[in-house]
Amino acid sequence: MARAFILSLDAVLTVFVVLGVILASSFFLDRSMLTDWDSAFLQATASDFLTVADKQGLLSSFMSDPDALKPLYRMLPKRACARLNVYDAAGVLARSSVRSECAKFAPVTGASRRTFIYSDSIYLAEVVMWYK
Amino acid sequence: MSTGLLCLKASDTRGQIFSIDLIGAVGLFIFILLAAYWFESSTLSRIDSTVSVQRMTTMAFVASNALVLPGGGPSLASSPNVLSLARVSSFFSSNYSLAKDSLAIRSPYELKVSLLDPDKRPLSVFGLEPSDAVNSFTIDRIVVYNSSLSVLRVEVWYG
Repeated sequence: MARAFILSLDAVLTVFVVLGVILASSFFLDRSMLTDWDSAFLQATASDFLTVADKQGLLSSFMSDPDALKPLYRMLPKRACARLNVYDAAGVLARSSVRSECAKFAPVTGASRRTFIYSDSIYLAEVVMWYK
Repeated sequence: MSTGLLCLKASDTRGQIFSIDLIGAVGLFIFILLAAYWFESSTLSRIDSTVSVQRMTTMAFVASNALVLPGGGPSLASSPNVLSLARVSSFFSSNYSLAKDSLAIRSPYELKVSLLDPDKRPLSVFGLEPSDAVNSFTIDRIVVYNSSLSVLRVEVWYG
C-alpha cells in the first residue's frame, strides 16, 4: 500500500497532463515556425513579373505571340511556377500561359493582377505563382 | 550493551530512508528533470534558429523592396522594377558599411547584392561573399536594367 504513491491515480493523471502540455506546446511551436514568407515572396515575384512584363511590352506581345513570355519565365526562381491568364473587359479568358513543367498546382500561392491596353481594349492580366 | 542496541536501532531506521520506493522516486524525478531540461534546451535552440532565420528573411525582403521600388535612400529604381543606370553605378561603388546601414542590415548579418543578366550571370556584385556562412537567405527580384530583363539578387547571411 505504501508503494502506491509512485503509481497512484494522481501520478498517472499528472503524467498524462504533463505529456499533453508538452505535446501541445511542441505542436503549436512547430506551427508558429511555419511562416507566410513563402507566400509573401511569391506575391512579390508575381507583382515583379507583371510590372516588368508590362513595362517591356511583353503583355501586348503575348496577345499575338504565345511564346512572348518565355524570356520572363526564365527569370523566375527555378522552383517557382507561374500561370498567366489574360481576361478581356467582359471577364472572358482571352489568353493563358503556364511555365513549362508546372502542371501540378501547390497550396502556397501568390497572385497579382494588372490592367493593360491592347488594340484599344482593356485587358486584365492575372498571374498566379506557386512552388514546384 | 547500550552501545550495541543503539547501533542496532540505527541500522533498522536506515531502511526507511533508502527504501526501494524512495530510490525509484528519486530516479524518476531525476529522469523527468533531465527530460524537461533536454526539452527546454532543444526548444530554445529551435526558437533561436527560427528567430534568426526570420530576421534574415525579413531583412532580405525589406532590403530588396528598398532597392527595386522607387523612393529615397538606397533605392536603385527610377520607377517600380526599373533600375536607373546612375543609381546602380552609385550604389555598387558605395561604402559597404553605409550601404548596409541604409538597408537596415545589422550585425552579425552581412549583405551581398548582385545584378544578373538574363542568363543569371553576374553583371555587378556588391558586398561580402558568404563563403563561410552558417545561414543565408537569397531573394531574386526581376527588374529592367539598361532596357533588358535582369535579376537583382539580395543575399543576407551570417557566419
